[in-house]
Amino acid sequence: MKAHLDDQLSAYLDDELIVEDRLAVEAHLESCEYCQALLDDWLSMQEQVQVAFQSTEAPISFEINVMQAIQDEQQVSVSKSWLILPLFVLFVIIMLGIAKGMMFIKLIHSSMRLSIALLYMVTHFMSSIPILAITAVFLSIAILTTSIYYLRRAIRLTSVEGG
Amino acid sequence: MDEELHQIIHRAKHGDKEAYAQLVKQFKDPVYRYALGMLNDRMDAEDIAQEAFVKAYSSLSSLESEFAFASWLFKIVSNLSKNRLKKRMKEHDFQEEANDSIIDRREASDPSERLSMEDALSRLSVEHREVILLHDVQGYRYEEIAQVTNVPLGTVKSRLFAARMALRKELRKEELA
Repeated sequence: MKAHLDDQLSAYLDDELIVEDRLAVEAHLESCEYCQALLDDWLSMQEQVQVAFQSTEAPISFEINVMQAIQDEQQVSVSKSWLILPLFVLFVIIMLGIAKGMMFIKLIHSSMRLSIALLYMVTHFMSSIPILAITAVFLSIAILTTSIYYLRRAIRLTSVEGG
Repeated sequence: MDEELHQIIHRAKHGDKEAYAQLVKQFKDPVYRYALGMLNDRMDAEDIAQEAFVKAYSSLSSLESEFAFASWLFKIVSNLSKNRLKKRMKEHDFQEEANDSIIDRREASDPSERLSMEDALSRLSVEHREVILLHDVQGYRYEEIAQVTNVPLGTVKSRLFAARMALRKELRKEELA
């Protein structure tokens, strides 16, 4: 069975073949009815496609609409450019806020480390002098007892007023 | 490309709006025709063609060679048309899910109505439709089609053959009906 030309035939129709290939296609066409018929069909189709679109034109107002759309787009981009300054200021404020926030976090962190160091120093100092530790214990008990007393009194007064 | 057109493109590229208006005037019909062939809907075609010219204006400075303006413009129209077709497909799928029976009735074609070339083209795949329009309607050579569609020259050749076979089949189907 003789092989048909397929895309070579299509390229022949479009005049996209080099001389040797074109001659080979022409030689094949002389003896192949199928390829001849296919070529005729394609030629007719090509004409039909051209006829279907040749009278098609863009709407009359098309040009005006395009230029108007370009004008509108430019106006939008100009109005958008006015937003750049306030957005920049907002950005700077946010960045400062973040930087300050970081500083604040660092401050808390440093003060916590300082407090821990101080606490450690005080306990170390107190444990080295026993009399000071005993005094601190008694002082703490006294403060605790006084606090409980005043707290109970406050609760009692509140319940009397409430009742 | 003639020298006058080259000058117009050069001026438009450097922000001359009047020159760009001249370009729109010169290319509006082929661009609209191509969009119509791709979308088979006049409203959509007008919309896409307009969008393409607006987009081309805003990115004209990125055009490397003024000689490549036409293929560059058609590449924009092609991409926008394909995006619109994808959007349409999604909407169609959504509607189909919502109400199958209505779509079925609407899609049933009238046998007495003759299939137009536009309708036959719209039944082809996007790639096949695209090459037929670029070659047979716009008159582009294979090399230019390869630039617009971003495929190798060999693919343009085989795709055009396949597109012609598919279109022939569609038209024959109609003749036999």
